[in-house]
Amino acid sequence: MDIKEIEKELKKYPFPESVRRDIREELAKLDLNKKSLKKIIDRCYEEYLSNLMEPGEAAGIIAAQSIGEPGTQMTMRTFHYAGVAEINVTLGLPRLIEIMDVRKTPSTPIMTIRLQDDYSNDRKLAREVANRIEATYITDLADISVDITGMKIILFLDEKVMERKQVDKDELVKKLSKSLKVDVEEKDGKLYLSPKEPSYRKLLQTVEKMKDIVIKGIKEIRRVIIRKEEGEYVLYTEGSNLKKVMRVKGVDYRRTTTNNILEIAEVLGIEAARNAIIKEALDTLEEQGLNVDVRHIMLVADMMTNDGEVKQVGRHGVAGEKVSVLSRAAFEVTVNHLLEAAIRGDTDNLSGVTENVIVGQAIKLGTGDVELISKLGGRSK
Amino acid sequence: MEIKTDDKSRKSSKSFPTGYTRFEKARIIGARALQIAMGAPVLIKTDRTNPIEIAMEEFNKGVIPITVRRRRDRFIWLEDKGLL
Repeated sequence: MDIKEIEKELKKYPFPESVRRDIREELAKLDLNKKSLKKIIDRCYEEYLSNLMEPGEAAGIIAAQSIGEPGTQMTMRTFHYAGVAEINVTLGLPRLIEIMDVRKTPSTPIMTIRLQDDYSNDRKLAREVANRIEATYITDLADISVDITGMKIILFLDEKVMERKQVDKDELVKKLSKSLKVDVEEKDGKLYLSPKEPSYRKLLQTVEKMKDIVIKGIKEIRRVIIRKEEGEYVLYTEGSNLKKVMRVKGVDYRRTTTNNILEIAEVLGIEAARNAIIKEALDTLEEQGLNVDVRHIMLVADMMTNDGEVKQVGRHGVAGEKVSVLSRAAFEVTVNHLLEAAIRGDTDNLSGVTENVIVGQAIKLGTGDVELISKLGGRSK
Repeated sequence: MEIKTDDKSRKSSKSFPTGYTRFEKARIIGARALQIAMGAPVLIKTDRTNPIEIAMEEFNKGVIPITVRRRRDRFIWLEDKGLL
């Protein structure tokens, strides 16, 4: 039986895409007639339905427990070296907390940059791209000394490094004279910089300023490491700037990511951010050998992103969510919350679980969410 | 908006959940057990004396005159998404 027929039959059932793919793969291996195909899919559908979560189930609490319990087994502080490339990555519990807290910048921002076809197989070209990305400062290229009597700064250029980093000397001269407003003179491999206004203070200021100039590359990217992975060169960076890196020539922007979730949200949108949260959280858990079902993490990621911006989940739940007075009072500093609510004249709609427990009502969950009506007309059997 | 909650019709339809959920089942049996405990006439012939057990037997036979109301806005129905 061909794939098309199987696909046609599968389309009649509302399977999620991943389940459909799995069934299709398995069915393709078998040689079936139409009748048994139908039977198998029918049985699969039955199984699928019995595995769905029932309405009324406390999905959030189950997700929280399913992430929380393995979380207790995580090593508190782990600093790990990712493979051979000696990039320092925050992992384990600190990283998981970071993801949930949605910090503006992760403590160890890292980018994975993949290259376009013609660049990804050539070490030299990959190096070129890396040079375009990595921030290069003057201290990397030259030794600095100050000539006080001549009121000059002397740069002893390191030709070898210059060549490796592919920095053009003329360009460097231009860049320095423009951004520092100095006269630059070149004499046998040395650069002489003289400020326009001859003062000792100005001279030292210029030196400091010069150290901060990014000669080449992207400011945020402190280091680039080239690794060969699955037959292609991949760049790993310390520091992250997705927007700029995606524009660099030779970079395959479709396969380039960062571990900074907020940056992804900004550059690629909220759906991408949701996927990034799922991926990052799952990776940190898996790295510790903990297997948490994706769906728990998906639920959390959905809650964090469903209103179009990434919100953090902390101990007060998802940030920005309106919380009832009673449930806040049940959590911390009871009297203060109640007092302030009384002063403001707040109302409580008793919509949450905690509030209803306090008042002594059935909660809107599980058995408490079932509405009974009488079935008139006597026996059905 | 109400939906048919008759057990038989639901089993044949492809909408989810097909039968009673475990919460609904517990709630129905619970309500019925309370009625029996308070002296309501039992609808089946049985040797049992425990109201909960009687209620469960009644439920399995499908004679309990109680069902649930499901509101469209509370559940996600697979049919609603045009998947079926």
